[in-house]
Amino acid sequence: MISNSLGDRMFRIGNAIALGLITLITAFPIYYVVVVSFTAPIEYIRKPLVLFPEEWSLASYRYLLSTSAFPKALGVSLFLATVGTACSLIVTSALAYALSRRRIYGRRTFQLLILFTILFSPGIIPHYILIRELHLINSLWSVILSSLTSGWYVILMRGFYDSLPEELDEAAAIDGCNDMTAFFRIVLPLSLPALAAFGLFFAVGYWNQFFNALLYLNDPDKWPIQVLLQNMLIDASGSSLGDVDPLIQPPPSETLKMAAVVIAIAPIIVVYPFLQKHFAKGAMVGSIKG
Amino acid sequence: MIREGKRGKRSSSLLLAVVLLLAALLSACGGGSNSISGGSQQGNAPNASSNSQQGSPSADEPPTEIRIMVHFFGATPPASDNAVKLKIEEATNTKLDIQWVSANNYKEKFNVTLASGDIPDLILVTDPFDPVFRRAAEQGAFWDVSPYIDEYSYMKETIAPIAWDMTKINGKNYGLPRPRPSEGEAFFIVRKDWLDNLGLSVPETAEQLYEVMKAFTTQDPDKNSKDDTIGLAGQVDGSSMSTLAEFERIFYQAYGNWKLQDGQLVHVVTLPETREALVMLAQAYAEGLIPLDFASMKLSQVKDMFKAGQAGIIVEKSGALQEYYDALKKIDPNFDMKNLLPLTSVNGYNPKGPGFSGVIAIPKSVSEDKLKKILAALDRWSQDDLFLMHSQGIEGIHHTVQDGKIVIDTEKVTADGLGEFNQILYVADPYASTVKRTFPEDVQELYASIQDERAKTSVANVGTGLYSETGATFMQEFNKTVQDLKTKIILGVEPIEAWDAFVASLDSNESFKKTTAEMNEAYKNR
Repeated sequence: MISNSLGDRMFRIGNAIALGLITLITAFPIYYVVVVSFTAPIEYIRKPLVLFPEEWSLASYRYLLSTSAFPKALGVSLFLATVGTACSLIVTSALAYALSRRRIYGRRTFQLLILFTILFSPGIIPHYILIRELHLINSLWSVILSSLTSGWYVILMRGFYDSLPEELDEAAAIDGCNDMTAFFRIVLPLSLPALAAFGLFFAVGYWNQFFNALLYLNDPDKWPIQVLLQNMLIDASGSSLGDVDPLIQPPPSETLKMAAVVIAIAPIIVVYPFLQKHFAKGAMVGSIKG
Repeated sequence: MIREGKRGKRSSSLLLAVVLLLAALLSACGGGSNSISGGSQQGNAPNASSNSQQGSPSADEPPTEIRIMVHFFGATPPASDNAVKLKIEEATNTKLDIQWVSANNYKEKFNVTLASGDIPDLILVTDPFDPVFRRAAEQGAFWDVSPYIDEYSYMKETIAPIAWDMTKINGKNYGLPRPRPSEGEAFFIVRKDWLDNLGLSVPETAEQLYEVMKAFTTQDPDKNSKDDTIGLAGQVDGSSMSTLAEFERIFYQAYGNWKLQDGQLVHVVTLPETREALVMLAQAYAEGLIPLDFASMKLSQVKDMFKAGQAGIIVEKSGALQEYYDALKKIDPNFDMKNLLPLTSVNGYNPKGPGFSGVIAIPKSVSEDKLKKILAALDRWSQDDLFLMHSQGIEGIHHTVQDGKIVIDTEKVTADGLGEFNQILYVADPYASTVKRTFPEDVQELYASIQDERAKTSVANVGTGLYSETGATFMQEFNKTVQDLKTKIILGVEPIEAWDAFVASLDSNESFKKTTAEMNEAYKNR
């Protein structure tokens, strides 16, 4: 029962005000980015702060989408997000499912090894040498394989699969399924909420890939959107006047940078609301046993 | 488990097929990159077996495959099928596999590449005094190019002797210096129209400069009846005075952290002139002559301030003034570029550049034969017809010839990123820092003559290339401590006595004394 005493009402009002303020502070930078991206460049230079542009203009967007680099980078990021997520989901769920079945041989050892990978990581240079030895330098698979799965997600998913009773496997076996068929035909369809939640995690992770792409992808055609954004946004010539190479061209204008940011975050923002209901359910998935 | 024979066979064969498919996919992707990473090895074999080479590459030999790694500054690098690149490959009989890395991330990529041992044939070293590169060169990872360079006259001519001298490590040159103009370093640029409006003359001493800054702030120099102007646009960052550094330097007339006094190097922090500069800057801040948030502004904000006509003085290279002029012209279509006046010198000082920006190193994994071929190709590239394409491109695509004059399509040139090729090879135009061909004729003449005047009194950074073991670790923290104190003094949070106390404490700072001693030694041995 929700009590309506004065104290409660005061608390609710105070709460609303405080949260409203925090929301404003958090949302303002995003609002600013979107507004500046639609401002005409001339107006932006003149005014110190643009809260609402007098001149709406799509000039920045038109310029960005006309270059070949931007749409190509978007395409690469899309490829990473879709193919990468699919690969990650298959690998993670298969591993988690296998680990959840008590009949597997060496279950304890595998779990220990996976825990080990969460605690320790080799660092940049050994990883680079590994990718080079596998001849995957300059291949998109180096980026996909580097972030294919994570010990955390495996353990979380395993928690979910623990709630699927072993009797299900036995029933499947009686009907003539082997492990593979049981996994694909019966277990996967049952785990859709978990798959949706982790799928979103993976997709956002792939979409935000930056450092691995930077290190392993040499061909500018293969750069994902985040690498391209960083090239545009961070003005290398701006660090200190003394070290500057006299031959540099001027950096892109603020409105162009803002438009680039909006294009880069738009897909995720658009997709997220649709997956939100799965996300909320799936995030709780590994926590309740039985 | 109970397995039905037929079903089991089908799904396990499906599994086998999937695994085989994945393996094929992976190796296919790997195969493509394999040829690129193995390129340098493949390129060596045919070259080693061919006879001794002369200066120019002959057309009947297979093209030399050269792998290059350099940085770029634009949003995107030139495409691999860039028209200019193809022309260069044709003329030099090479196949260039250029790996462009964004300048933001070049340091990391460079370190990783060096560590992995898979070094491209030509690699840009942005800081030839970086301890990592230094150690690698001393251990023999890179060729000493000085014995070979004499045969390649074109290239030799384009690199000034000062660039060779400044980049020596233990008397050897472990890479080709990238020549840059030595005159025309960033210095004060003053709004001449504002000076005229207020009846002021061009400042030549620090006191006069201060007076000008004050007038710009208080006397409405742009005559718009609004109090919206300040004197000097500048900022500092965490470890250096950044754009406000020149204001400090005019006091002790040295460029960089070290000054030569009576044959000895002293760190500028210990000089009494630094104290004077700080006092004046603190006063300037108190009177509002420099931006209120100079301590947190970014360089782009400083530039925007000047571009919007809110500041009267900025520290910049006159060659970079095109963007400022374009912005100011949007506000006032009648703006004359000559109103952006570079100062010649203040207190008889103006900075002189090092004459180079990094070196291009060639690793020992390249055979001596291939080394000569690469140098020959670069030599051919230095010749006018190829090098000029970096700025004007190809006739018909990037520029047209009208009445004997070349009209450049600057948008296409920028879109194709032609300027980025300058990162690999550059024929230093002595006026490149001060004059651009896109400026109006009279402005070009003005800036060139100012540069000539400046050359008479310019002061170089005496500490370039000097290495101090202690300094390499000590100086980083030291610079941050110094800058922190300076910023507080300018803001008025700390009194100038705090500076005196700090300088006094350096007498007992062992690392500081050791660094000074080591720098002096390096100087003597240079």
